[in-house]
Amino acid sequence: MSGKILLIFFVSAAIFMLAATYRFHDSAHAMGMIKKGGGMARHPALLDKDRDSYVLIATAGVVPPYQGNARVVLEGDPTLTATFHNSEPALDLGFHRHPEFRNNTYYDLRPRDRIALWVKIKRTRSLQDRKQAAIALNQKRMRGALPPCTQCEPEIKGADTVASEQGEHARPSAKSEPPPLRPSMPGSRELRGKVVVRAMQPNQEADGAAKVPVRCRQRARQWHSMMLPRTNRS
Amino acid sequence: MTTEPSKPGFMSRHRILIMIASLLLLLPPLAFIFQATTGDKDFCGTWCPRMFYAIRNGAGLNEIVGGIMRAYMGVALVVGAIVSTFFLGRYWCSHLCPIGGAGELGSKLVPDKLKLDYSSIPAAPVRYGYLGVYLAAPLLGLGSLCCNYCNFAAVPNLFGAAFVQADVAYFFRAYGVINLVLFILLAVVAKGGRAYCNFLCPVGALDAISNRFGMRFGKRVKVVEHLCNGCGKCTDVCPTWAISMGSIAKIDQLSCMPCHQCEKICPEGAICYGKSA
Repeated sequence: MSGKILLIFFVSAAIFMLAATYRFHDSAHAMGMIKKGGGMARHPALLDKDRDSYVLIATAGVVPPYQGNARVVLEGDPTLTATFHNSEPALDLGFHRHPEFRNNTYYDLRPRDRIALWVKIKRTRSLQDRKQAAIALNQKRMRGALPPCTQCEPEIKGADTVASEQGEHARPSAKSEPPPLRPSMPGSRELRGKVVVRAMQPNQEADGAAKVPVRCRQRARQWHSMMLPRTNRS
Repeated sequence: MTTEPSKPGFMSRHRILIMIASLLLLLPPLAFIFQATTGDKDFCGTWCPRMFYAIRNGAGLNEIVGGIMRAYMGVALVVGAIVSTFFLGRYWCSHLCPIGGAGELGSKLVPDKLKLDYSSIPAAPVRYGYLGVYLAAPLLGLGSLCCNYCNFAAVPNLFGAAFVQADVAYFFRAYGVINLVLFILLAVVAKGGRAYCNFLCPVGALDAISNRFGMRFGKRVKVVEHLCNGCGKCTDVCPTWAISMGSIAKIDQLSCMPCHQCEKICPEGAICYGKSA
């Protein structure tokens, strides 16, 4: 083996090692699972701070016996604007059933389904936007309600009421209490037989990172946090 | 002793058609094989031919087996390609791989004067430098080339981008742009359209090892030495620059794939596909 060949081998290996170790933190892949009792992340993602936009791919498998609809919400502070795009066949030939994704909600998720969601995230950077976000957050806390999810209620047949953080029902429940589920995430609260598995709140971490959950719900009864991505907050 | 020039076989005569069929069967918008079998839409997931052997630092046996189970069709694909290559040559790479095929067919649409010629770079050391890092970096916990620099993700997303917003989103990030640029520079505007396959494909690198070690047992493209006059026409058309020219042509089985371009162009019929003597 000639010296030139060896040299090319080692130089290319060094370049590829550099490529392997360098990370562009404008995108990440979060892997998780959706299951009864709460979603969880097997592989949380790390995004860089101070960028205008990010792209996150969140993949998850549905663990039996979970079945139903799931709404996807991105939480974070400061407010992050996100658009969700379900990864689906360009032309569905109809050989297999795929859960339908509409209005940020997966319909008809079934056990062992696998979902892949591309999330385009934009940060609201202006001071005005941040103030508005802070006001909205405070109002939300004062109301003790969870607006993004209550909006979802009318869309789901047989939806039960959503408990507030203070443990008060927004509306009387028309159905029997669902069996209590074991909260699996920090910040979980059990409220009158309903489990509100709050997604991880934006926690300030040692490295200045905040956690941004993707939150799913099933038939408006249970809250599932499938979170998974993490972003630094400025 | 004289040897009659061999007639081009089916795979040689219909190579372009086979490549187009492969694109239709394995790439969006149809992705027929994925949809008809596992319900996937592209190579990512069950059909991933790359991730299961990029074993990360600290992975236990469960995780390794889990990775293999998760991408079981990708495992079957890679094992099938390696075994068939051992006996028949790299037909997966030359005819069936839709990723390499997309690059090569794309390069046929680009005028020759715009093409970049990478043939002065020895391909094998670059390829195995890549493969070495591909395997070692996650094992040492230093990072990964898997997924971030993956043409098996970039090309299907490129084909699907006209139909699905999610596929467009792939390119809205640094890795998407880098993969797109690599695909354009190393495939679409590369002479022969196979520089990406030759440098940066771990599946191709494993396949090439099988090709090299199986050359004594299986069929390969070979030079009939007493017929070769050393005109060098074969070196010009070889998309993987596997042919070096001394007094006669010599084929490097570590880079050769049976595209049969050299066989077609040889005026002396000195290149044929067959078993080693």
